[in-house]
Amino acid sequence: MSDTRPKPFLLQKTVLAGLCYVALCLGLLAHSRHERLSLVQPTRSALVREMLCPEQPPADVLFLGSSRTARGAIPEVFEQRYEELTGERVRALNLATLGRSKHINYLTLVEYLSAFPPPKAVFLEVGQLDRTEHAHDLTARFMSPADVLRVLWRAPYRARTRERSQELTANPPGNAFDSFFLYLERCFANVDLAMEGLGRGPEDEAFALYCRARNAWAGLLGGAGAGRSRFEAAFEGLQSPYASEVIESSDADLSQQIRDRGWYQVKTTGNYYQKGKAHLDEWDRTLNGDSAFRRTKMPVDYTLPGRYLATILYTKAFVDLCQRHGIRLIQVEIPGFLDDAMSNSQIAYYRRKGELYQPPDRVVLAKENFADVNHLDEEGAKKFTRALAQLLAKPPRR
Amino acid sequence: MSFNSTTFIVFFLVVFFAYWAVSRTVRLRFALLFVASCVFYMSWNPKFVVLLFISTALDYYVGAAIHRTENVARRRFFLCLSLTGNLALLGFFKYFNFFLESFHALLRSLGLGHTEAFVPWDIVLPVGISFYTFQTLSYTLDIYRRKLEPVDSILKFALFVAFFPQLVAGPIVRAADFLPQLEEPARYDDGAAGRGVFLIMAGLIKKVALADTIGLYLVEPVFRAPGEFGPIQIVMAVWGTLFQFYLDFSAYSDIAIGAAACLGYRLPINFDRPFLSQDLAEFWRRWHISMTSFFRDYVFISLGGTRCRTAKIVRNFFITFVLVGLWHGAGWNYVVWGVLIGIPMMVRVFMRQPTEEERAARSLFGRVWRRAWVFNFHALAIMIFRNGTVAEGNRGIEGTLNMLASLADFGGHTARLNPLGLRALALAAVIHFAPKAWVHVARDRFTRLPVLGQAGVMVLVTGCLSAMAYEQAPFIYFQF
Repeated sequence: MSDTRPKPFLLQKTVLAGLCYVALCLGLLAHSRHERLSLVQPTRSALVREMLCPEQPPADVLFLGSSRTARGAIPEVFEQRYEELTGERVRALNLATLGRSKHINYLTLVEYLSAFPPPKAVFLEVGQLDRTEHAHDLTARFMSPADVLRVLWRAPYRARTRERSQELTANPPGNAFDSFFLYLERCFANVDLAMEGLGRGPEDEAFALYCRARNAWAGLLGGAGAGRSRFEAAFEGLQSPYASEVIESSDADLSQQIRDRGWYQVKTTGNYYQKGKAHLDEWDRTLNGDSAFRRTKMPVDYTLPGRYLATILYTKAFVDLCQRHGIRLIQVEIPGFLDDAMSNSQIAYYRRKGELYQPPDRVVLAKENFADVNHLDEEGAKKFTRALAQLLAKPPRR
Repeated sequence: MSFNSTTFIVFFLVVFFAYWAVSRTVRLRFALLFVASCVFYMSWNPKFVVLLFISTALDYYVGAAIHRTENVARRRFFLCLSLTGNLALLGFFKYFNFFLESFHALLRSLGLGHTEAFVPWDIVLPVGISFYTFQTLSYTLDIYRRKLEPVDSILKFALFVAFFPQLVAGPIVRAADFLPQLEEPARYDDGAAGRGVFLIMAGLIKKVALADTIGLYLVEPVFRAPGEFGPIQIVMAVWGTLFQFYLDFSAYSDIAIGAAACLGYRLPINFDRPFLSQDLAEFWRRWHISMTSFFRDYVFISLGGTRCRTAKIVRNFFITFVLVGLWHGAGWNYVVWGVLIGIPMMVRVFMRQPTEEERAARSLFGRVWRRAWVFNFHALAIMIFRNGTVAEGNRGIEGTLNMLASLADFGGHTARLNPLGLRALALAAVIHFAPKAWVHVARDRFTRLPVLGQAGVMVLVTGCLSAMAYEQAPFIYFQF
């Protein structure tokens, strides 16, 4: 005779599947939080926080953007040129750092305004930074299953450790300079995800805790030497809430530059710089103005639903925030060498939103002004910064 | 708390485990389900739960009063009390502004009254009021017709009205179908629960992956600016609209039926592949079945149905379809839509209907073109509906006429449709027209999967859908 008694409720198949579903969801949630945390690049955020600390004097002019702005706007040059033109002394602060999206720039400005009086003007980078496909934009758009696979496969889950990042920096995927940038951008999109997922408040604390634990573990495993024991190294690691940078070996140098003067340039002797220059030479040989324009002008259309959602939302948020605080917001297209021409639709969009500055050809165009196709070198940055000071010295057009 | 939200998934899991944990105590399980249903309803607007209580109390006591007396006049009085009470609530919250505006317009057209524009009253439409009003009405009507005994406990009746899977957007459950289930002992059926989970997954896919995608990428751009698109694109968008409505609403019904099945209750099916219909009467037997059967049983047949003179049958159809239109919304475009979909039914009265043998003997071509005609007729009608409900600017009939004019405009259109919307439409069509056996095979395969396999599929589906969701779009039928 077979046993006809029913199974207990908790042992029924669908119930077990439901419980497994809950467990899997919780596990995945925890895992995704962990992944996101491990990808946030904290040193830059930490440096910005230090620059925003209330002991610093307030600034009259802020620069916000990605590495293009970080390398393309020099505060001292701006201050000097502005004084020459108007006789007025101002303090400029470059809060842009590598890989920063519009979201993070917005949060930076919010943070700044919570600690200081509103500045006179904000120069906000637009263009390439707004075209970056942030991970959540991509998944939300879901143009095809291939998009989702691409996000999962290529980025952002690729470089979870410093060693792997260095390896990728030395050997960019497919040895293509652009694909490395694409990779990098997608990686940094995780900063946005982390911010969104965790909220601004707990993000700092949770991440700091994570970093302390990771640094302590690293110290315990291999931090001995130079007269200190493994435990001392672990204790030292435990005190540091910041993880290390991933870009090149000159990260300490970059950090020092930002700390000292608020902007940075990569070392001209470094591998990164050499590759950039080589790429620049190649473009200069193979492209002219027209062909480059055709090649790089992207069919960006901000009116398409579901695309560029973050850009649209945060542009509006920026405009509103600046209006509320009486700040002059100048949207700036940071020059690229034969690269990233904005589409008419983009230009029209930014103009509708407010003031847009597109540098004329005579300001910067020569190859000599660039460190690579995306970034100005120091000379180019000086020229460009002077143009920005000139722009601010003039009253805004009504 | 919409079905397509993480909040609902968490809520449902909690209710599911709690319900089966207390299922041995009858009153406790009913109380738990009722409280959960109230929480579910209050997540939209807490104060409107009072309306739900009023409607419940009114029909519970009126139902008992009708049953107690044999006096015809008294029975009629109590029925009228129930009808007046329920329809007054519905009329005020749903139709007051519409009637006031129409009256205002009438006075103006007669040169009487004020000349300034009508300013509507600030009345919020309580979610699901059209659905639960019909449910409570079906209870008193069935008691009045002596088809149903009144329920012995107000808790059971309150649960019938507020049962959360079907509270907000149906299916409209008849008291005679649901109340007897409350008398059955609660016995967990794992097969039914497995099939319920499958239905919930299928509903979520229909809603998030198909209906919302078609709406966002195909329908919305065209309805927003029809002049920018060519005739073929407009036709695709109109087809897309009909599919979007079908997918959106049938998804809700699927999730409702699935959730109820997990809790051990059976809800009636609401959609049965309506675009396979070969005539308009068949369409209404396959589309929103619980609503059409309600109108058939309580309005059309009450008016005399088809057992009367031809002129009266036509009148009965006319009244029924105008009410169907008005049930969907307070606006002249709904009335026009109701009349439009009713006209072919009225015309049918004068035509000889094919026998079952003749229908079976139809050639493939005959079947296909009849289906195409039914589909396109409803696609045309849905333009009026869509322009009046969810399109920007609520352009109603005028918007529909503009779209029809654009169908004849072949020149100089620059806008292009997003291929994603077209792909979703194609996929929706494949799923709809696929043989039913395929769905059963998929369902059986899912329920036969090992525990971890089932959990994996659930994680995959909900994970992918949450990644896909551009924004959490509400179900279209919430506004009815």
